[in-house]
Amino acid sequence: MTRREPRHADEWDARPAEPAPPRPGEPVPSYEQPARTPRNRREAARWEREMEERSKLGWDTPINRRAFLDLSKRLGLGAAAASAAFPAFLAACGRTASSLSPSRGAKFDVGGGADGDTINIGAISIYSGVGAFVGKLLDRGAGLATKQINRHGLPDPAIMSSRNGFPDFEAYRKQDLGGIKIGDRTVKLRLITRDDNLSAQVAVSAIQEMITSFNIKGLIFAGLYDDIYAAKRLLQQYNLPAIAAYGDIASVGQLYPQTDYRQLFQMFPPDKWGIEIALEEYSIADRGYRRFAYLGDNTAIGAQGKRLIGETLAKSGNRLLAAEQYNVGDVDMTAQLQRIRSTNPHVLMIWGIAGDTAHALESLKRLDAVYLNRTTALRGPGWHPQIIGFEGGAAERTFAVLAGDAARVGTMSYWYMGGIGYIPEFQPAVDLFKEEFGDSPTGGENNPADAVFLFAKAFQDAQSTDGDKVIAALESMEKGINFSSIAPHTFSKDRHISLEKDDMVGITLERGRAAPADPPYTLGTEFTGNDDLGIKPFNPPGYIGPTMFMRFNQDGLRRKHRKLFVDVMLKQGFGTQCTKRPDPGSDWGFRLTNECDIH
Amino acid sequence: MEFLQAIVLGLTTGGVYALIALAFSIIYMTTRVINFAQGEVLMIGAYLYFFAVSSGGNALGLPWPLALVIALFGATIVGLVVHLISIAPLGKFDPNTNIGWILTTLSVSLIFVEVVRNLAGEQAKRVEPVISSIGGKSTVFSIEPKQYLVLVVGLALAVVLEVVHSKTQLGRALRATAHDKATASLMGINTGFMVRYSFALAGLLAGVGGWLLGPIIFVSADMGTLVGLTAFVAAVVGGIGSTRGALVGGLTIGVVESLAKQAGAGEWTSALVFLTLIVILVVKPTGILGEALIEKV
Repeated sequence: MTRREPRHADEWDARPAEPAPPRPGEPVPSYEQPARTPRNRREAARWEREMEERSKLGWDTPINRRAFLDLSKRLGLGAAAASAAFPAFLAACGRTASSLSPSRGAKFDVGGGADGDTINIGAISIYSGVGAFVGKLLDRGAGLATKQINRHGLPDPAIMSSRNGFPDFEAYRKQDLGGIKIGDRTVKLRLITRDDNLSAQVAVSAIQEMITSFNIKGLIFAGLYDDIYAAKRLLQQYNLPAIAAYGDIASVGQLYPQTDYRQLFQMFPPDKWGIEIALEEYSIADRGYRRFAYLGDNTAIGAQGKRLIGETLAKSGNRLLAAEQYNVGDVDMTAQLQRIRSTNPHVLMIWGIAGDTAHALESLKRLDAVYLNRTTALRGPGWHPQIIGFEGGAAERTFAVLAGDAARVGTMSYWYMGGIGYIPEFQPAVDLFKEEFGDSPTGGENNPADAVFLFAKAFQDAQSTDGDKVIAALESMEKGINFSSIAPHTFSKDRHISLEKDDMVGITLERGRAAPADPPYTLGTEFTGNDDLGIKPFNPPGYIGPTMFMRFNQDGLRRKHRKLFVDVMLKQGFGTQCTKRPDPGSDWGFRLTNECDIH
Repeated sequence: MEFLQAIVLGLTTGGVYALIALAFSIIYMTTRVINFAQGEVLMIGAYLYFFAVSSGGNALGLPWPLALVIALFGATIVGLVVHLISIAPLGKFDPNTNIGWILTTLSVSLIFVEVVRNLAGEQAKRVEPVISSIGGKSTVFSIEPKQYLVLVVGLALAVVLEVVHSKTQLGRALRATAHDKATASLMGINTGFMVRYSFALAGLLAGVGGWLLGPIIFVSADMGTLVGLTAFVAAVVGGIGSTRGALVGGLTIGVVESLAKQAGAGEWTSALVFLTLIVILVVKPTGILGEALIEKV
């Protein structure tokens, strides 16, 4: 892997002096202010409405795996409180497997022949109680994909990149294949869905029922994480390929080849990658930070974050100087932060969901310790650490809205390129969704949809539904396929994650505009529009929330997504706060460097 | 200094628990039941205030005093609705032997959460604290005015309720109903009204709690669940049925939580809260300020 070498942090001393950070009580720097404040209540309402609409289109949407993590954590609280008295009461709220209408499909032969005209794909999700929105995502995403495949078939390979390197939806919708092709027959897909009733045991029973009654040939996990762990032996027993639409089983060592459950595939990047890039490439190499602290919640995800952060820091000879914990839902974290402050870390890693991260930052604000810029984080005066947050927290617009002015420009997180959602090239996918359901996707529908496309392509490539052949086809899907994510999902024999570390992208908080850089080059088409390219401003003037941070992992993105990253994102000027320097050594002629003191 | 800060912070957090514990106590006084939907009434009050005061979407964008009136009125009505659908249909019953009220109040709480979640969505909402809009922004002991406001309002309401219940005819009627419903009825007190009054008053208090708590813990469908549970513990610790007990119980639990965090045992706060409950119940089964109910037989 070629390591990029922008100006190293040690060179910072040679830079012109940065303006002094404000003293406590002084007005915050100008980059904390939105470009313009609403003139009146009506304009504020319009901006808020626009932000919500935009938010539904793209990567900062609340309902996706991050909201799913939030859900998992809240389940631990809400359900525990209620079920302590009446556990059966919760279960009674749910839709049970036996109450669902049986499918008439499942005519396809178990042994791998293409005898029937329907292939059943099972899906397990949450249709009950607090998590019912997840089931809705599955129904909409996977349902729409199934319908499209049964009408148009799989897209011709040429279609997948014929529109400026992106799929040509119009051409796809003109196809009239009526299903996938196996031999000389056209086979349709049928989606069988079941509720896990917020119980892994129920999920296993439902999967068993789908296997025996409906002869499913693939399974999509879109329910509790525990469903995956509980069902993996069953998958192995029936050699049933399964794709986890939302879960991260790789970071806990549960994904092939880390284990021998070769049937399992994952669609999301492991948190491990995000942590490695955020710490190794950004914090240490780019920013020059050496002192780190952790504040995380008391869940398994918090513990995993702490472990991964510790392991990553150890690789570079660093360690966590302080590690503090809070309970999910805690409001005040002043005591924990006071203890952390005594170790004076440059970076505070906050591992919590959006609401808790917001509470942590409000507590930080009460201690006069909000992040200002890199110089102050490193040298003071006072303690003003840069915040790097969990993708399910600091990468959310919800977090920025909840935290108010305690959430400061430059708060960092990570996500992956395919998940950033909206670019103009993918508007037809959004339009298709609107046409079908009458409203925009809420976000999160894309993975179940792409899981169906992955299975469809695997069945067609394998020309069979035999488990071994379908798994082999998935493992050979190096060109991948994408229906609703902006980058294709691919697998290989030794990589059962549909993404690579090079897919990781940075997320940073902005307020109203891309923060001004010195030298004065900023991206920020989403804030300003681009008249030459006919792109209108994407974010309303009052926008406060996360946006793409394009210097982060730029070499990886260039390798993996040259077309998307260089030709679309950078040339159209999306993303934020990058100084663009000529770089004759680079085959793209320039690179984004780290002069900015904020990001 | 940090110890003092933890105490003050605990008192501010305890102010919220005290408010809701007051509501638990008032209903318990007249009906001998625990309204397990009390936390959810608070949640609805918080949502009503949010939608009344916010701009954007379907929000009304009203000035905060008007929004507060709407929230309090709405929460009061919701309090009455709880009575109407969870207690009234049970008719005359002995809460000590017929525990149907546990099921009905718990059912109502779950229904409220589901309804609000489906109507208002999954996302938590931020609502600006009133006190910052009228100038209070500086922190003392790293504690914000919006947190102090909870304590001040909680104390003020406890005092007002104490005075109302001890000095007014309405209060005396309430206490008479609490003491012996049958005799109170024979004395001409409309005990049915007093029960409805207690649910309405509890709803009003929950509305105040939602208004105060929304800016601190954010407005969400599950915001009332944990607060309600902790406030119930506070009510029992202080002595359920006692106004002063609710206040003392709430503040005690708030301080216990805060000191646990200060001591680096944040992950043990829930355990310590319930341990406090057990210790209090063992040492003084009626709670810190609770009085034993003596009945003539």
